Amino acid sequence: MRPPTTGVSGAPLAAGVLGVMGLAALAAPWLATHAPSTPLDPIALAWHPPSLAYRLGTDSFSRDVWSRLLFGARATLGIGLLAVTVALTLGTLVGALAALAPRWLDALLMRVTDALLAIPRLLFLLLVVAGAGPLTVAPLALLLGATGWMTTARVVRQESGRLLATPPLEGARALGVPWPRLLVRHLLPSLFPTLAVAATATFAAVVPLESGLSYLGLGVRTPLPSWGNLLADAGSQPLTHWWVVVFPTLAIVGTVFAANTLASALERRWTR
Amino acid sequence: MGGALLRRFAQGALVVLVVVATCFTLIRLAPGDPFFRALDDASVPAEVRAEQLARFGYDRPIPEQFARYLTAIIRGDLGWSHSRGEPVRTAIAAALPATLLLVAAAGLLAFGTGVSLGAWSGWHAERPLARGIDHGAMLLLSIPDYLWALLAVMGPALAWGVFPVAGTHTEFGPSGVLGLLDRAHHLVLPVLALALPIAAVVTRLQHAAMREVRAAAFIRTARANGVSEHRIRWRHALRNALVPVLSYGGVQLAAALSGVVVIERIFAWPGMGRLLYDGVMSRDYPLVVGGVLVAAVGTVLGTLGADLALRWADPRQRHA
Repeated sequence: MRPPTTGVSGAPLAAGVLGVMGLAALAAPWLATHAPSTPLDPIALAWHPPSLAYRLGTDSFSRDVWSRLLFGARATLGIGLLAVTVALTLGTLVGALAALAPRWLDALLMRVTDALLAIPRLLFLLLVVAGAGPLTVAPLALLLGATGWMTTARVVRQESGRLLATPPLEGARALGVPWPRLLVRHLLPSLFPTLAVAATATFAAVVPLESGLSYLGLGVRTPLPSWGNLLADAGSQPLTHWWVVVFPTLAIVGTVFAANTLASALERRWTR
Repeated sequence: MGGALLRRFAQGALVVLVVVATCFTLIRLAPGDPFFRALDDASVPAEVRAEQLARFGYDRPIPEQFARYLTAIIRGDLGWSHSRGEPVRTAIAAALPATLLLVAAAGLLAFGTGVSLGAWSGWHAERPLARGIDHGAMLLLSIPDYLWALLAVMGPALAWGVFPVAGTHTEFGPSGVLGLLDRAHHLVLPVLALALPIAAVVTRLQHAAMREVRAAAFIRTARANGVSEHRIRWRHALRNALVPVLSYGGVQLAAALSGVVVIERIFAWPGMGRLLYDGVMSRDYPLVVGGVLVAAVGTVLGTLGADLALRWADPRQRHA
């Protein structure tokens, strides 16, 4: 007997928050009140506190924080989505192929996955970022995706192994369905719940990573806004210029919180 | 069990080898070389640089360099750190204790609070306070560690000056007992920033596991056999519910190490994270690879330790 689910599920609210964030990012040019990257008036308008004209205040270069936050959402969420797509594709391929492959190839693929998982991800990113110099948005997203597929691969390998032992897939295999077709037509559809959970969880992990890299000056570079490098604009006086720190913080934490809530709700609903 | 353990050791050694080989190659493929700070100047003739590179064997093919590196390691020689002007072994010996202290303190704090809060709240999952703990943990784990560091520096450290924000101790500070207190004082913020996100994840895992185990048949059996409620909860249920937390603990080590790089940079902590960061930035090949080697060995040993703990907690694992 399973214990009755208690409380209200936060899933619809979480999905709503993510939806609003996404819409805001898409509608940034219409919602923004100023150009995001051009200083308005470096002398008169630097560190302007929130007001009617500058809703969330201005930063040290007199750039409008509200507008930068909106355009920053494009960078942060866009990079997150692209990275999740890459990570999920790679992870699903490796995991599902390992499950279908002969034993030695399965063992090889999964041990390599384990080894890659043992490298601190940030160090890996540092090696590449330090090597390649400043990255633009698309390569950064690809890099984040290429270093984040291992957890998905492990989950997919485990779940595929379970699914392949169920009667429908065992039957399909016995009937001699070739493996590409088995993968695409039989395995992938059944993997959908697992992949949905993995996608939300990966997104919740990538957003802090991108904003962290950008905060350290290794990700998206100013003047191009991202939620991470907005935080760095507060410089050494984050307390007196609280508006430069508080709003990007809320955006990052809100997004990650929503994604985590959604992942956990989906997991409870679909994978038990 | 002995055979399985031996196999895990061999796999661990293989993992270390792959990790080191990957980093060994990546850092050499990055533009620049260990001498770019000193020799990137139009007045330096190309022969000088070529001579320097040849002196350390960096002009050889990468596989040959790697083979030489491996034989040197067997002799216990980790090479020469160009950026620090000392043997890599000395640099690591100086940095490792600081990181171990940080990680051990954060690990104890994170797993201690996580396991106890999660176990209590999972067992009493219907109580409002227990639900609050679960949701609170979800919120905490959504705050990345660098944000913790930023918030910590903003609040208690900068505004009120309660906690120091940089280094492991006060320069020319007190010694003896007061010196120890001074070190503990410096430890507070970095440890909190590192531990809080991990504690949040552990709390949630422990909560979910305890909640599920509550309804298991073996708990009902134990109760029917008249085992005391206290013993059921802390012996039977908790031991079983520790399994997901322990397997997470092993995986978490590498991720925690990423956190260490960020935290050590923000709090100017002279540990392995700083050593690796500085090493990458100055293309100090031997320093980076040596640091990665130590980190990989540590991670693998940690995973092995988690595996052993898992075998203790879950007898089924012993036959897997």
